[in-house]
Amino acid sequence: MASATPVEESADAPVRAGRSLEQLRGLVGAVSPLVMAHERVIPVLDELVPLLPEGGLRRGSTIALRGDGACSLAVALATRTSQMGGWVVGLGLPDLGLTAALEAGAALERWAFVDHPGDRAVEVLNALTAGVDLVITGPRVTMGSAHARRMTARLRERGTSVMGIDPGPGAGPRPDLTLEVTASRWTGIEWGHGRLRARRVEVVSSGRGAAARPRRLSVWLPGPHGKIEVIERVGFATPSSSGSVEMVRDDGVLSPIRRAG
Amino acid sequence: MVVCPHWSVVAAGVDPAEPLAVTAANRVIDVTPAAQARGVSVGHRQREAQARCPSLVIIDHDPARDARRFDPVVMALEELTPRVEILRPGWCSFPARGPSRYFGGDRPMADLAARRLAEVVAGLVGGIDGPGPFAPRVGVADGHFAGVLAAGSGQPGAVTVIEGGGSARFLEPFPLSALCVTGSPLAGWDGGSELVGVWERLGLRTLADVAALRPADLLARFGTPGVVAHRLSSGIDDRPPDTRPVPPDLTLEAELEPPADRVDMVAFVAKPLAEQLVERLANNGLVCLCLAIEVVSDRGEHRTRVWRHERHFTVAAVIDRVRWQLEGWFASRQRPRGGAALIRLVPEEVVADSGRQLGFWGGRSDDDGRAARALARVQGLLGPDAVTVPERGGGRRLIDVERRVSLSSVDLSQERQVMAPDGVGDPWPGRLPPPSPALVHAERVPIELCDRNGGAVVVNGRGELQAEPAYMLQEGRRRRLRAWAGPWPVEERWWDSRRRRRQARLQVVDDDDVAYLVAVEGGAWWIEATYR
Repeated sequence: MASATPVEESADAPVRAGRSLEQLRGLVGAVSPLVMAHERVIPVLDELVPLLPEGGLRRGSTIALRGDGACSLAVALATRTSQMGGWVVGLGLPDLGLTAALEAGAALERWAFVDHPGDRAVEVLNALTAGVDLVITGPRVTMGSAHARRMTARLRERGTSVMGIDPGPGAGPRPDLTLEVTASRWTGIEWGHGRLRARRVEVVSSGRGAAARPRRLSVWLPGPHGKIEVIERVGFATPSSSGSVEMVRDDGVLSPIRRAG
Repeated sequence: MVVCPHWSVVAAGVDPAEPLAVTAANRVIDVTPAAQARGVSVGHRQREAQARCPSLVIIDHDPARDARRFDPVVMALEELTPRVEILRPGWCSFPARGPSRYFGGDRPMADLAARRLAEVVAGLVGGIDGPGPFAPRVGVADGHFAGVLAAGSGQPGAVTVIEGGGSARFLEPFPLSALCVTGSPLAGWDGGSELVGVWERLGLRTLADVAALRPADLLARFGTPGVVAHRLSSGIDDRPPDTRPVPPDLTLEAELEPPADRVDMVAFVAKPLAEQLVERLANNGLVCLCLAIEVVSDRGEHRTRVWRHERHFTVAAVIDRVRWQLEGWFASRQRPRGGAALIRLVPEEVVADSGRQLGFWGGRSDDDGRAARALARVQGLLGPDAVTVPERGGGRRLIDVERRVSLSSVDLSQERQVMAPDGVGDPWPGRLPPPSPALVHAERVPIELCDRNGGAVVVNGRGELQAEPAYMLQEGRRRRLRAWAGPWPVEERWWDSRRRRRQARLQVVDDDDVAYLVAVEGGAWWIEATYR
């Protein structure tokens, strides 16, 4: 048996080396004195973590939300921020439903709204970056492309993230991440009876860098009690030739998922 | 100590016989005796107050108005004594020793002061037979706190003089809640009222009980507030014993070029000055308790006021005092002929800061402070009402419940409960069960709701649909409906023929699977909310 030991050891070596490298990296992270703004992440609800490449909203990043349900998604993404003591400001969102936000779990003590920024959205956003963690901008907020680059730099520096609901072409910096609600279906309501109970949506995230591979998530948004609930946690999505969407599960087996709606 | 009762009401210039309440951030902060007699008291929510007294007149609180009207009172006092310290409009104090000797004793001096002030207040209220219930009360005592209670405990217009050394005995019978009255150093302390609550549960009833405890034990268990409370209860002058000589370099001044004749312009200049002051003090581990503000006009007129704070001056508190002082000066009979050209902040009493330390990692309060400053800057850009914060209103429709109030009407530094999370489930008549719509339209979006044959869908008097809705028309766009449910009738104020309203609501889902809450009143349909 004595001869078997060195063989085992040698087979193990790369694994162990990898492990110690990993440990070393962890240590570097732990003792590193400086945390760059882009390395920090604004936490989101656990249910939404799979959508985001960093597991949260990267501080200083710009996120675009599109599709039916973009508002609910924005509120759901901002919920954890306000729960953890961060501030959320709605810019150009005079219609955002507060009861819905409350049902999603938002701590409204730390929400504020600037309903009509007019043509001074850039200045307002500039002022907000000094002290607000997350800004949600409405579809009608325009900033002009001239300011976009400076705005991006400022957001990075201050660590304020911006989520745009259906941003138009002039809505500011190019988004780092786009979350799109690709399918949504209300349940509980029929022809003449029932009521709206829950909505099943499918969200696809795509973006630059680490987010280049699209991710897909199927959730109740909102669920029957107003809260977000995961239906299916799906891995990376790959578009297939037939137009329907296929996904790679963790075990590598391809299987088509039914489009909801 | 001089206390003008119900100052906010007096400053509003009203008849004491009329039920009236002054409110700030939806809470009653002051009431007239007439309103008090009908059960309205300080601390009530506006709606609660109105429920108790339907004829109640509500006036919004305006600190500038309070300050403006308080100026004549201070001026009347300044004829008796050179140094008046203002705690806030309605409350001021002055050292009694000098004036007492001049006027022949504490009581003659206090009587004189009360008489003079009563005349001034009577002039403000417009009462023919004196100021009535608004007559200022004067209390003379060894310490500030005893003075506050002495002035606060009497009848309107009363003069209470506590002989030298008698403060401790005078304080003994007061209940613990006296520790948190306006003007007490504990009133401004976070958790001051909590401390009192804990002690009450522990069986302490009066200030004598607190004074009997050992200060060392109180310090060990309750920290600084505990010691302060003990000191107050024992009638020891509550001015902290470690008042330090003020370093001369802490006096700050700024020139205004060109001279400003508007309060907000001066306040704008005063802000960096106040920030500098607080920061410099903080660097020395100090806070300011008493601050003199001097303003000089370009014609050489000047006005100095000494402001005392219950706890210590923050930047916002300094700016408030500057505003109040100038409001008073600019509105007074001796208003300056020129604009303000120089402003000087002179800290008169500083103590070591024993306050709360911010969290090591930049705690919650730090975040809140940063956010409040950022929002204040947005207010500066777009106007004071451009920034709103959520508040829960009363009503049946979402638009009534989901209110947003101007940031200037709330105090972000206070703990605020907007809508209790467990309150979400509170059913109210006409409420729709969750999930609630993500968009609640501030303005009605008119639509037409049609049945299969293109006829208008009508809800009859019994709240029933006359035809099944098949599609809706919005600005010429036609949306076919996939599903619908309802109607849910809403009937408000059915007892009031003019303000009554009858509505019915439907949930509809169109072909693109967008859900809407649509409502009808008097045959006209509109989209009330969208489930986006």
